[in-house]
Amino acid sequence: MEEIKLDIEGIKKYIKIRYPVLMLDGATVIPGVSAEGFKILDGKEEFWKGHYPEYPIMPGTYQLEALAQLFSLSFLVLNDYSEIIPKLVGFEKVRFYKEVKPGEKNHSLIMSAKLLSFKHNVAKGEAKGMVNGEIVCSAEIKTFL
Amino acid sequence: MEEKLSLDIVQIQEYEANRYPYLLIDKVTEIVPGKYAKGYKNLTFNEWFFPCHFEGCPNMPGMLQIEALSHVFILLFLTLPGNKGKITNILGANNLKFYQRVLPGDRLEIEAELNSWKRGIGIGPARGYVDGKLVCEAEFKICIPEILQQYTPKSNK
Repeated sequence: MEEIKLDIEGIKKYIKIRYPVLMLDGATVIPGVSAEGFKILDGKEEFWKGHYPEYPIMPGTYQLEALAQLFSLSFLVLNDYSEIIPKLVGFEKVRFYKEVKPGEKNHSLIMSAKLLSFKHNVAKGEAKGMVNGEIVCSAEIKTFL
Repeated sequence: MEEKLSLDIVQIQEYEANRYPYLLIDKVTEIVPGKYAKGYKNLTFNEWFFPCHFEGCPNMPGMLQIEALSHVFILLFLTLPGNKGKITNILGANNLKFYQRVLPGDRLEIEAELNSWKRGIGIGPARGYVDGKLVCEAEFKICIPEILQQYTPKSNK
């Protein structure tokens, strides 16, 4: 299948989540196979202020949220699923390798996700996130439509 | 001798480094440091994440449920002597499951246990309930980097 390039408006068509929980700034999707995307880490969002006040690092759960959102794109673009809200079923083998800090221009969390199976409206796959070419988080994801 | 504590939101902030808008528990009703803890989070529609997740179908993001579980879980070792107010890092989690949507008006009751506490790494399960029904669960592996670094070989730094 052909690649689909999505900017932030394109992502909003498929994912019903909005700022400040929307954790994707751009993505390239091969429908039904995989997705790659990024989230800019500019340190302006609210969560940096609370986690932690004088030592901002990106909460691990937000990294997971970003992985899950990118993963959901890989099958949401397949059909006319844009009106459907997917529900998370679970995660396995969630790992965090490094602290993710806010940075300068073009500093972003670069993610890739693979759709391993999509049957009976249940999607399974894996995803990982990188910063500066180093892996920071990885997980196996299961979602229900 | 087991010492039972209960913490209100001011005391929770003394033990945890998380702050608004990223502090997702309201009260800890019962805690035995190093053993188990029970707490809850009240959800109102006024919460910052309901308008954006989702428009027309507000429910609590699964990630933030897990975050709320972890906030009770880390208190288990942050209440141990010498650990007050330290910063924590999540290393990993297993068997994250979501069973049911958590809606505005619910009270998310959280139970957590500490199975192991060694070299600055705490391991254990946590569960969330609404009206006595299990809604989410996870097994955490969370560390205090300050303590863990003392045990890390210097050549790896």
